[in-house]
Amino acid sequence: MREEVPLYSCEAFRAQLSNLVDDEVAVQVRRELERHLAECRVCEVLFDSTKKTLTILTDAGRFELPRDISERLTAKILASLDPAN
Amino acid sequence: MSYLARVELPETYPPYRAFRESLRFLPAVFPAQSLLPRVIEAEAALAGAILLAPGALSRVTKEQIILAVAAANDNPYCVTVHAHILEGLGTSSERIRALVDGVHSGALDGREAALVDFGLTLDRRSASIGPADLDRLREQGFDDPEILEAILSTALARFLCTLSTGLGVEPDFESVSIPPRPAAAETPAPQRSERRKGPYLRSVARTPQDFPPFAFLLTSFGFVPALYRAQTLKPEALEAEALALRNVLLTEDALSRRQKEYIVLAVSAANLNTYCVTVHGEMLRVLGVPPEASDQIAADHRHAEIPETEKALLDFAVRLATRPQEYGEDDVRSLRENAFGEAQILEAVVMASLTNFLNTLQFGLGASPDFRPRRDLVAEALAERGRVEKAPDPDAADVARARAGDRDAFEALIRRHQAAVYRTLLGLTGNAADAEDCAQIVFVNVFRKIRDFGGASRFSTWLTRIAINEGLERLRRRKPDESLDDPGREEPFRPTSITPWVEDPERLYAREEMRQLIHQELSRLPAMYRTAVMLRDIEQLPAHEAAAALEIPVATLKTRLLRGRLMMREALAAYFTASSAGGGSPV
Repeated sequence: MREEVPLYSCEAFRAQLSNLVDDEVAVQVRRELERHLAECRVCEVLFDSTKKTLTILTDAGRFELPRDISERLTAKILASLDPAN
Repeated sequence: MSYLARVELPETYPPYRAFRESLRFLPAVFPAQSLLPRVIEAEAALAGAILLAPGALSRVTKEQIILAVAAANDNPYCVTVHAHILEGLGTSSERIRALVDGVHSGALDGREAALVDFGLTLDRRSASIGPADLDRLREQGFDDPEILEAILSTALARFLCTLSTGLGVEPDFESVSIPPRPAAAETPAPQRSERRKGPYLRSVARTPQDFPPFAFLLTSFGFVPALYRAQTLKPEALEAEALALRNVLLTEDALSRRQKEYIVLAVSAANLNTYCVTVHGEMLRVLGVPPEASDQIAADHRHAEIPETEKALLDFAVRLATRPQEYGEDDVRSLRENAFGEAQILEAVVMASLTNFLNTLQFGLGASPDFRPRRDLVAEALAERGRVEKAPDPDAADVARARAGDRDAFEALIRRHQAAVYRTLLGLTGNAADAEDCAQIVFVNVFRKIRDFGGASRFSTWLTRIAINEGLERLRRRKPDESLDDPGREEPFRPTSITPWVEDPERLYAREEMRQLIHQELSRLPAMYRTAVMLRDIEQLPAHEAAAALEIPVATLKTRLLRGRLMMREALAAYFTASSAGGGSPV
């Protein structure tokens, strides 16, 4: 008897979630994950919001150092390199 | 007439009739493609949805954008046809002349001129367009549906310019002359637009279950690419684009699907469109083409492992799409010599045109890749133009000089890396004074130990490792009860928030608020998850470098990363789910 390959369970999907958003899964696995995604509303929300979380982290988490802090820090480091200290 | 063979289609052929009805003539570009009626049908759908049917912008406004873009591309066919159409719509000959001459600002009112300027910018500086360009239109009072139509009109103009050049069609009317433009020989170097990511426009939630174009994309490609999700304000354009993909890209009676995907890759790479290279590389992967092969075609198709005839095909498409002034009938002949038939050459022309359309659309919408891109084409082009050597470690020279006691070189290293070190320490310790204090200690230690640094890893990885250890040390002293050790095997993480998020969460908060929000929520994560998320997702280190900096195996990093990301997701859900944000429409 021939059966359809079972879909990924939610748990199996979630174990791969991070790799999926990083595009680090093999083609066959990806197909299975996408099949699961098309069927499972909860995992779809999880996938979508995780991707958005990453975008937010990437975009807003990485800030440039305000000029006054960077100048002060550089000066302090250079000063403490002197043998006198 | 035109370069390719043609057949007679009956007067009653529906697309011909539709054009005659709405334009009162049949533009020569369509009968020139009569070998493949499916292609004409796709183009009729695109032109109908984007240009001819009533929309947010008036017909005249859209035609003005197309005329200006055609003139900037020095395309006599499109200039003549669209000048004629504008005339028929009652536009004065002075205004038409001003658009063709590129001096429209005096002839149009401020709002209309801003739209034309936007179209010209999107056409000329596609890869460096950013959200600020759209904001300028919003300042003029344009809303998102109107801006979407301006982007679609510009993309359609590029499509028609490439198509008419590729087919070699003569204008339907007496040619309108285009004055020579000041030599814009070199396209301006792309600049990194602000870090604010796209999509730049509002969209509405649609699912494959309730929206047939999405169902089509899902079944054809295995996912609904972000480029299409960013256009839901104009569903009729999506219907036309779905038809165009079906009739042009997916139908295999002339070129093969793989050959057509190669054209998308090579042309998108020449246009520096990372998004389309990434998404179509993914589509090729589903078709069984390994990622390395796709990367090679995007990087340099002349050295890819494909038959010579296919290299000729890609040469043809890239020249037509990106250097039309060098293209001519000889290019068509050379494809014939490579044993390509008339219908195949026609399809190559249409694919090059469609790729320019999709690239322009993506640049204007700012849709971000559905997958993490393997290569950043803009960064690579910038490196290329600056003749920056792709050295294994960009710090190697300064490190060598610093080891020899050169203070200036060490200062350069401080200035280059202190922001990343400070961010990492702030994330770890959760407090600015500690971060600054630790950063100072870190660099002093690095200075003392730099002779021991053997170059086994990158300097930045080594520096990050020292910073992490210093930050953890500080944390142990401040919060002795917080465990920093791996708790071993844990229960699988159970998500509690399963409410959909708003479409673009980043528009809910100002940048600084968002930064503080992330900082606050990140600081509540246990340190082992926090460090993984910080290095990988904020500092964007590759997995193996983040693992090396944390002195853990890559597999451990990935486990921690998954949990850290899910925890951040739970924390941020309070701010970004459709219900908590007070608006939006959860499907």
